Amino acid sequence: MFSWIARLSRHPRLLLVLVFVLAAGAVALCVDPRTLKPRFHVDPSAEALLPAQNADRAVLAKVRQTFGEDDPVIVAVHFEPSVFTTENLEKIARLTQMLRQLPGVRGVFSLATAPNLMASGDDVSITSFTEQARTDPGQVAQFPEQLAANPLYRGTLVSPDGHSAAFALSFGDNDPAHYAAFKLSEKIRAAAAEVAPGCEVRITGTLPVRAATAAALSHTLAFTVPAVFALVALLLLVTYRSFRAMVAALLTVGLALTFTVATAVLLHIEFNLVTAIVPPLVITIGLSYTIHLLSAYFLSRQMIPLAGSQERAEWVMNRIVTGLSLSGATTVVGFLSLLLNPLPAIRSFALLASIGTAYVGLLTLVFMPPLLNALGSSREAPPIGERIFAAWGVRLANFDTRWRRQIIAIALVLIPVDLYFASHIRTGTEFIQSFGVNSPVRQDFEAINRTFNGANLVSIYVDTHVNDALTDPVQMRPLEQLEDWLHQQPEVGAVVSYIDHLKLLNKALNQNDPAYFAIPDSAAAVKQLLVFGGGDAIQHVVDPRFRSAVITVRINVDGSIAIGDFLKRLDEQLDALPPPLQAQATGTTVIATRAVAAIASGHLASIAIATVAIWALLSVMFTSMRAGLIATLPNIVPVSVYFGTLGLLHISLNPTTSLIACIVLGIAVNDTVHFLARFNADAREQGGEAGAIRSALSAVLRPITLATAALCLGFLVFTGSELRNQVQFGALAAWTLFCAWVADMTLTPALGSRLRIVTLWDMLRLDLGRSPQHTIPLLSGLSLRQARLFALMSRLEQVPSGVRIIQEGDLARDVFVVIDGTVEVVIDRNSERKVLSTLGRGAVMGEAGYFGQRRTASVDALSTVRLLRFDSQDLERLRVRYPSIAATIYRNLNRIQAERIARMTALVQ
Amino acid sequence: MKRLGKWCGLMLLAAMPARADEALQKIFDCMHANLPPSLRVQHIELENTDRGGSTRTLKGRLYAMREKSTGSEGPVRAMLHIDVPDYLAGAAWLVREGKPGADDEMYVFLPSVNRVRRVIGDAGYDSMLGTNFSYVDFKQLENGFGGVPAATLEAPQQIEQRPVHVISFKAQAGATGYSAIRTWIDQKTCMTLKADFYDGSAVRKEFTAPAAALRQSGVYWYLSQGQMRDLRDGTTTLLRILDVSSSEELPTRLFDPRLFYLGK
Repeated sequence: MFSWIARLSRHPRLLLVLVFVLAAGAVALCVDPRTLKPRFHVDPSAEALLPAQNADRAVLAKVRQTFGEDDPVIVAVHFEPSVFTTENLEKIARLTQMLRQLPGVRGVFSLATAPNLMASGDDVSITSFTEQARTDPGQVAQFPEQLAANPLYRGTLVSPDGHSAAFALSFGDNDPAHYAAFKLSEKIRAAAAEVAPGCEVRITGTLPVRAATAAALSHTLAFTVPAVFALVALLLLVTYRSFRAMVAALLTVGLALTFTVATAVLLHIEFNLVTAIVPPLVITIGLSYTIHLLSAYFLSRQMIPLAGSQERAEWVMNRIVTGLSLSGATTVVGFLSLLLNPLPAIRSFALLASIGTAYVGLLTLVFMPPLLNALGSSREAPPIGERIFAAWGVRLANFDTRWRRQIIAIALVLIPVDLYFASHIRTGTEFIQSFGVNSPVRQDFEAINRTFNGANLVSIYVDTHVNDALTDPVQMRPLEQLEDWLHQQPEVGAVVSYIDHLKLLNKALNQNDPAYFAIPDSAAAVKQLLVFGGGDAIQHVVDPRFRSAVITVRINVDGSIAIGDFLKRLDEQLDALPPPLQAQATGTTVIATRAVAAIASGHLASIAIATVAIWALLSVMFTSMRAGLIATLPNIVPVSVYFGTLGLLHISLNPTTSLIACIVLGIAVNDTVHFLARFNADAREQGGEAGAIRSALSAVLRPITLATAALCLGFLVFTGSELRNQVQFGALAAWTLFCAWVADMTLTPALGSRLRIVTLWDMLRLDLGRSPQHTIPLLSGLSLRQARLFALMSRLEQVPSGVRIIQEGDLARDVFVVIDGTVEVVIDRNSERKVLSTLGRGAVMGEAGYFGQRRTASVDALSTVRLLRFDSQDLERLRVRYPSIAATIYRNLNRIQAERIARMTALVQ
Repeated sequence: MKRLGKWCGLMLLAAMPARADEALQKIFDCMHANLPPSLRVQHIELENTDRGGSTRTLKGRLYAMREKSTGSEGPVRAMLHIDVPDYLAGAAWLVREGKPGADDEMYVFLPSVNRVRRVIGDAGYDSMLGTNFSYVDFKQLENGFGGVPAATLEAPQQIEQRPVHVISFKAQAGATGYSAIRTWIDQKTCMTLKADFYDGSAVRKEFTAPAAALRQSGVYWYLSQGQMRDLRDGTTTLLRILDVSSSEELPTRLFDPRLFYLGK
């Protein structure tokens, strides 16, 4: 892949044109060019989080198919002095008529449409409350008592205090987009204001809440995307003081975002509560990548000031390709680990975020360097704060080295402490409380929930699979007992079933005798009553074959934990129903609660997989499992801190907070990789770790801090969302990334201070000539990989022609191996230069120094020479990390030494 | 209970309001001419298909007649006696059309209650016995859409190669029930072959009858079959008239609120 990227970078113009053409195609995918409307969709429903084949969804679909839609829009209008005046009842009748005329409204259930079943002698009256009030105003005084005695209407049509009347609007199309497009909430309020000016109007239900959620998601997207761009643009401008650098970074990330959204359209991935995080996430990650590239780019202007644009682009790419590729890979691995989650929304998130990260990584590598060149090379001020960061890097390195043991100890203590707090985490999410306290949708919900003792609906689907079973009084008794149990639950505000309808009919047809407010004794009587009263109301609670029914329960709690606790108790009751009664709870609220509960099942596995996968990746890239572990450990600490924070602050694990650990794990490793890669290079150049820590921290502190700042700012933008879970996501992700930065600036250097790393990229790039294990005696017996490992644990140096490599008489312990070029071994005797030999590839020099002797001859380069240079420390390090390679090298060194001694002995004899 | 009265609408003849439009008036007169003045006995079957695709069948006898009156058209009496299914066998509904301006009287007898009850309340738009028909639907279909103002005669069309009148009715603002009804009346027989019942701007229910279902009993036309689809709920009710007979006998107890449930 690297060679492919390198080839691409050699055709910058072609590359730029190609990317812009692809971008045009992506834009056409994202936005319909004819209507200019976006082609991607926002789906705020909780069902969107669940699998299409989910059993709960299937039950809900079955209930909706059999009994119709179950989620009315509830409108509560406050009347003074009370609902029960002829004037206010007339207003209710008028408002009911007006609400019926609203687009999409199928029906309105209110005091104007609900029949008030009355019996007087042999007469049965079934007119509505408002009609009765109109024809006989004297009846109004009896309405409160009649409503209180009616299980269908008690606390439903009128609030217990008698001040608020409810209107349940059923819609044919439960699409929140249509609800929002028609501005139905505004129309409902306008109608109420026209009929009853000044009255307080509250609106709630799945549709308005979903519409508000969709609006909040859209606002979040519309707000976060430009806000992240703006914030990071400012950061780039301030730190790099280069307008074109800022433009290049923003354009790169913008294109990556466009490609990501286009991919979402192609893959039919909708933006829901979880996947809506992807766009700002891609921007944030992308901008952190671009910061690393810009750091390298500006460094190139110092290092190769006279280089051409092509040469500079290649230099920049070579400089960052290892870190960026590895960072991208670990981030993608972190995201992909979420594919284990049972929720399709989280799997979609994992897929889309991975693709987005790949886009932004690739564009940063191949598109941004030529773009920077193409934007021109006006003289710009040097990046700000370089010296300050470099100075702090040295101080930090000294601190890390001095307090190495304590830092490691603190980290090791933090993990179990955080795990203790994490054990208190509960899985759950707030539903309506996801909105801010001042949000109208939350205020309306809470007002109705308070006034009517419940605003969330739970349906209990009862199925017997036997025709007419639900008209058998024997089967009806357990259901009646279930209703009694429900009424006793503190969460339950109201319960309605076909049994309530039946009892009312029975009583009304028997001259209002309270003794008949009961289940009739025979199935035939039950059926006659149900068919007699078989209007829409009964068809929505029992099916025409009387084999299945739905019990509607109104509950006064919100949030998946409270609802989950209620459902747990309810499930126990439902499981205890005798056959053939089979029942299960369903409804939008139940689905949402179950969806949240499903998060926990795949969460720990995802984190474990992500950790192991990242460790494996780092082990491969650093060619050592130990190095992989050391690089992984500093990132486990912030993840454990994150979970500890959740437990300590009683924040629940919900669909968005469950993403953070894997996201942070994937992103935070970037800093570790950047530090270790730089530390490795410096350690090899300097021949020691202590100085390398200082130089590496000085070099990476600035880009890593800036990248972390960009990431944190990006995530903190989510705190501006109207949805609480998005706010939590942003704040916690930023906090965890900050912890990861602290760990990377302290724990990583502390752990890595005694570690020499060889990266896979180093190995692949290393040129030791043809078959070094066969052409270089010191490497004999090693594989090509082992030969390269040894070379990378040593130092590869290039010496110009004419330069002296070894000075006779010096006390030095370095050993040299000629990789290519020619050297001359000379001695100076009485100012006379005597050439002892001319050596080429594979020759070993200076081994006498290794054994403690002074240099016995000088060595000069006859041409440009590439040398492998190592000393006893390098060999000791090799012995610890790669003992089998060290053993072979020692053997070869001894063999070379022995041969040399043998030759010398032969010469002497 | 409102649905009790809906049954009587099957045969109900409401007074026609005076209409200025002569063409429309002729069509309505023609429709009315299909309702005989003597007792008519129909064996009917209502096959209801619910959302799940399962069917339930009701069978019964519908007795209807117009009382003798000094005026041109006397009030209608209609009684439905259910025979099938078994659990409803013996249940009976009686509807007596009220005088102009007065409500219809509705009575019900359920074997389990074993008493006649008078049901008070205006006929609504609810389902009748769990079917897709309501009192209003029948009334509009059979009664020549009497009582519905704002009728408009549209350009004629064809259904199954038969010329039909197209008449639209629009409800008064604030009125309950359908917002509009659009009907297709066979020009030859004056029977309704199709009707769309609007709720707002959308068709809520659709009635259709094939031309092959047009039958004649004596000089009177009737539809032997018609289907009402509820487009909102996805349910269908098929109405079949299995047998039609007339009788000059006047068994008054069929329409007596105290005795009607005893049947003929």
